[in-house]
Amino acid sequence: MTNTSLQQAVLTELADAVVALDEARAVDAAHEALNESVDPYTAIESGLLVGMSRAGQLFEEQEYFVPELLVASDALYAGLGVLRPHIAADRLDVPGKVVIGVVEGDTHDVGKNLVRIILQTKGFEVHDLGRDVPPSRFVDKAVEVGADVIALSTLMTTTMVNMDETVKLLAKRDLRDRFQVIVGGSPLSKAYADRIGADGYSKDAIGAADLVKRLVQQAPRVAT
Amino acid sequence: MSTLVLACEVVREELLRIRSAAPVSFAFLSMGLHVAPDRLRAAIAAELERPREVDRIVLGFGLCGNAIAGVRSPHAPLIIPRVHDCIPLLAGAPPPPGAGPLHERGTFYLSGGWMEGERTLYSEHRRSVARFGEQKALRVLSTMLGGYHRFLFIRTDHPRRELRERDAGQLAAWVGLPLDTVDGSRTYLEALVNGPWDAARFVHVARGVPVSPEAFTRTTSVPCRAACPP
Ligand code: B12
Repeated sequence: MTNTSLQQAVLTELADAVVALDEARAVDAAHEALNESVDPYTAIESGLLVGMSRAGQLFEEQEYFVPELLVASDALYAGLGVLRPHIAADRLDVPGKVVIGVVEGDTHDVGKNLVRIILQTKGFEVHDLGRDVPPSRFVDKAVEVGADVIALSTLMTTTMVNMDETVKLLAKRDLRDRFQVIVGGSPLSKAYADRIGADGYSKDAIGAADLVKRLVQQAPRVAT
Repeated sequence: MSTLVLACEVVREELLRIRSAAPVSFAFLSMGLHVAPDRLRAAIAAELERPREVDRIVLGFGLCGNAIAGVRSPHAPLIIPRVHDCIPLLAGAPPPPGAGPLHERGTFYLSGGWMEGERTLYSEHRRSVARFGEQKALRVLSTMLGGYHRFLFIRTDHPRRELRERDAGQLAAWVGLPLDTVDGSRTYLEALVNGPWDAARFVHVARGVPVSPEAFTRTTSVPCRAACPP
């Protein structure tokens, strides 16, 4: 095999290990990537993450269930643990800071965790407040860490209103212009995001990362 | 006046045990659909599109993750319990007006239907034991239940209630959480089958009109207007 086709084979193996829900295989493949001098950043982006989005796809198609997604993200994390320390320093620039959490009253956090993992994988500094997070904690944390984006998740129609509350609290504290607010979770829509005055919505985790990137690259809401 | 009750399997056994003087027919959809609101919406819409000779269709579903948002019933008016999911239906108490239908945090609700249905916490755990082995499956289950401090089994007149309560006890033991029980009440499901479909507890949607999710978040003390049945 030529060098590039070997490297390509390693990337495929990284993706396959995640789809196969095999932690040990992901770790082996990550070591192999390093041995074959695959750029670790590429190994993450074009290997592990490709696997994770394929697992997400299989979930959509009902081939995979929620447990599979959890095990797939274990495999992703395991591979990440090997590759992360080898990313060149100039690649480690933090593209932005995100405060993320599941809104008050809701403890569904599988989707939020996936969004966090993808954001971390893409290099963002992510502050995860967990689940059942009251509006004031989002706001306080965002101020404390100087976040660019506040990312709100919920899976329940009963708790969607607490996204609205969080946006309102930002306005009330005269902070609305300092942060971009994005929302997600299966009962949500772009229309709902617009209605509550959020800055963005995405239906999945990969889309969430693209969205955050776009929002951070745009001029910040106000120069601080 | 004839009624079709189109419901989720999770309340099947309870509904079939409710007596009715008027003609009522039942149709049930798999509980497995609750994991994918878009698919549930499509399945409900397909049922509603089938031509039927009924005067009204009552849904045995809540808003269910916006699964019923936007569905239309072309042949008969729709009546839908004003709930976000099946838990208040099983418990028998509609959410207190104004308070919002919030669940108790950290409580995972069980019932006979929740133990027997497809793609529930219990069935998925058993499947994942087969796939990943006991140890990994248990870790997955504990991750899913990380935010929970107890199970609450709602006792209804489900015919296999005792058996399912024992299964629930086993589920609880696996993850080391307590299992509490509470008596459900038939009142909500009885009203679902036989009426009165009062506006406090039920949303009324005319033929061909899409279901609006806002109707479920509004406070419930709206007087019964034109759309209500005689
Ligand atoms: C898995 C699941 C659970 C697990 C949760 C495990 C966990 N730790 O999260 C368990 C079994 C514990 C659970 C519990 C309950 N659940 Co539940 N659950 C689900 C289910 C089937 C799938 C959710 C999921 O994990 N999907 C997989 C992930 C990957 O997808 P996701 O979360 O949508 O996330 C993706 C996108 O939405 C997006 N995204 C997510 N967050 C964000 C944030 C941002 C900023 C962005 C941009 C994007 C984004 O990216 C993610 C990855 O691509 C949903 C159905 C549904 N709506 O999908 C019901 C559902 C949410 N549950 C429901 C119910 C009824 C319950 C219970 C009440 C049931 C019970 N018997 O007690 C309890 C809650 C109890 C309580 N006290 O409140 C209802 C909600 C009803 C409501 N009131 O709104 C739903 C909608 C099912 C239904 N159709 O009725 N549940």
